[in-house]
Amino acid sequence: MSETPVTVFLVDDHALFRAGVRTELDSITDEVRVVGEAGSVGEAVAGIVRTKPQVVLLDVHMPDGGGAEVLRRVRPELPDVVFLALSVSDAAEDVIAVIRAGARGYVTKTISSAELVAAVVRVADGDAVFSPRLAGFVLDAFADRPGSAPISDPELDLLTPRERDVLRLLARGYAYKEIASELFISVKTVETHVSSVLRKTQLSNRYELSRWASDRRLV
Amino acid sequence: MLQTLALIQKQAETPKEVARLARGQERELRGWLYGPSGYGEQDETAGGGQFSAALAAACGEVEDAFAISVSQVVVGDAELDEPLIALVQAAREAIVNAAKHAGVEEVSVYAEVEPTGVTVFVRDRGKGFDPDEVPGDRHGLADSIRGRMERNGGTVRVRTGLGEGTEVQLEMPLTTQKGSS
Repeated sequence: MSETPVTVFLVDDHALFRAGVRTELDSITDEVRVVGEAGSVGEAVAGIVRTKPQVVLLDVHMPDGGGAEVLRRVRPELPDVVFLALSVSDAAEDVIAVIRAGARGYVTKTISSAELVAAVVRVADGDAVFSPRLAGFVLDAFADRPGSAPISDPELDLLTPRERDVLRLLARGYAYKEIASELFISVKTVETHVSSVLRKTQLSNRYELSRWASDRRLV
Repeated sequence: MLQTLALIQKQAETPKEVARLARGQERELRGWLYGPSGYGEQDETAGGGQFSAALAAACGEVEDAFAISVSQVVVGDAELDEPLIALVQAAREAIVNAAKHAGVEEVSVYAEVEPTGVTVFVRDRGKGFDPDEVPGDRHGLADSIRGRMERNGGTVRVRTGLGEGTEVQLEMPLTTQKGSS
């Protein structure tokens, strides 16, 4: 859509991983351009403020508070910078915590370069990116269990049946286009559902979500 | 782990084998880091075992045996009983089929436990096949999958087409109420 490349800032405490991602991104596409990188929370905050990238690829696990700490320190100052979490961790609390701290998506580090580029472009356009695993966690967190806490805010604490359908297909590994044709809706509508689920994941006070988040002292 | 790293160095010319070794180690490390049932579920069930753990083990076995990557997502959990064991075995067979025939490096497994039943989807983006012309060596689907499921009251649906990949959907109703809370 946009002619100019999406500017990207890399945050990861492993220099080797940053170098790898940078090479991959630079070599396979003109759609994104890496404008900076950082290996610690302090460096990241300074670098992001200085370079004002459109998208930050953010490692979840780092010393001094990890990706969530970067989000906390940068977001008040630069609310337009979009964060995409990139992690090897499969732990629900980590993933949910960084989403609740404001990331617009989560992908695992084993993602292919082409998929990573697509994810970066997607979040830069204001959409959300859910890996199958994140979709699974969110379905789990919003599941109706016997004995789960009463719903205080139906607007935020419940998923619509359609949102569930979309999440299930995401969890089954379907791409947006495939979800759209499966459910007879447009890709744009799929995006709208995913963004709405992201909002609920970030704002809902459902017990499972706040438990996962508070384990990481975010709420 | 150190032994595996040494092996990986020796096998450096055979990328597929290296990937297989690395995946196996990754899985073990994750199991060790994040605990038995994946992500910090606290309920310690002494007996039978949990559905999610059994499915994860099955995925791991196929990863190792066929040097492919099986990404699995499980929502909810249930205690294993006979129908659920059959479900895990049928799912395993479906993953093996994908590994053998689809010609892809990755298979996605999604399982969801609901109060009324457990559903497993095994999906690949591989070759697919014409469901009306199942080759003679495809007994796996008929016997090991359909037979296992139907004997236990479950159902199987297959969606495929040449060049469209394959998705096997396995559904097992939950009959018994879960005794423990």
